[in-house]
Amino acid sequence: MHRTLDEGAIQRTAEIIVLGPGGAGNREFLQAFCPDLRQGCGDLLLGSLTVHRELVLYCYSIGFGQEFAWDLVGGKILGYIAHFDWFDGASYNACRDLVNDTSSDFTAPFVVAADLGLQPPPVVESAIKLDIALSPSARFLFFQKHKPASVRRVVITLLDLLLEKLE
Amino acid sequence: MVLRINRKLDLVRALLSGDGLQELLGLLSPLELLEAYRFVQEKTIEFGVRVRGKKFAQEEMLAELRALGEAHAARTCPDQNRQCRLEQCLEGHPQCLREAAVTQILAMASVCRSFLHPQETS
Repeated sequence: MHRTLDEGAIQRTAEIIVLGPGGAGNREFLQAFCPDLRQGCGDLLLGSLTVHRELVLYCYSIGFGQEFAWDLVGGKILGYIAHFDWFDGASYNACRDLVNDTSSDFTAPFVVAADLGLQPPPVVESAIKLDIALSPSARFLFFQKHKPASVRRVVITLLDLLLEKLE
Repeated sequence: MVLRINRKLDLVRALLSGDGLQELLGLLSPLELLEAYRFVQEKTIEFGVRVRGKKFAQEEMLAELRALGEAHAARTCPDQNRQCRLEQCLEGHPQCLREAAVTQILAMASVCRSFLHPQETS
């Protein structure tokens, strides 16, 4: 997707969808890498990251239970991030079902990220850093939402998947 | 690919948390179980190599799986050759495949637990 800038240059945009439990958690996730955040209707949050004047990354953050026009938007999305609270079974179930439905309908890469919050890690420290392949276009990893660097690692994992697709 | 992403996520969660694997395996069809076997084997080796490095005894684990298969075949194999070949039993002996696959997947989960949750197994 692109639009023409005043000076004739073309501004390219990339769009990703961030699926999460909703509310403040989604905002915290987007704040880690989107300097510009706007509230949409309901639980929808719009974030943007201007890489430079000709390239902008747009992120839509959607709550698990929220209605969304998947048929209109899903096909043009560059990739998906779904995050959930590792210690909350309901959060995991909602995330898993949405990932399953969305990945059946669209081919864009997926990163599923489990938030450990401030709880003690559920596995040995070295396993926390695992980046687990679920398929050639889907990964699972742990992260901590309150640490911006950890959130950015999730986003970088998605970008890596996109680059691998190009190879 | 028969095993959908929700099932793979369930398997990863069960391996990492050390909980709920047996119940999950009970929900899978024989074909899904066969794919789950391959997936769990791949992940166990991946986790083992990443967490334990050269100390991870991959050959030892594979030998244990073979031994479990042979013991299962010696006990219940409906074929005359008495060898446990999971893929070959998909059509003819799905129940036998289920029992053999579940036993071996649980053995791999136990290996995972030994290095992912060492304090629980020591």
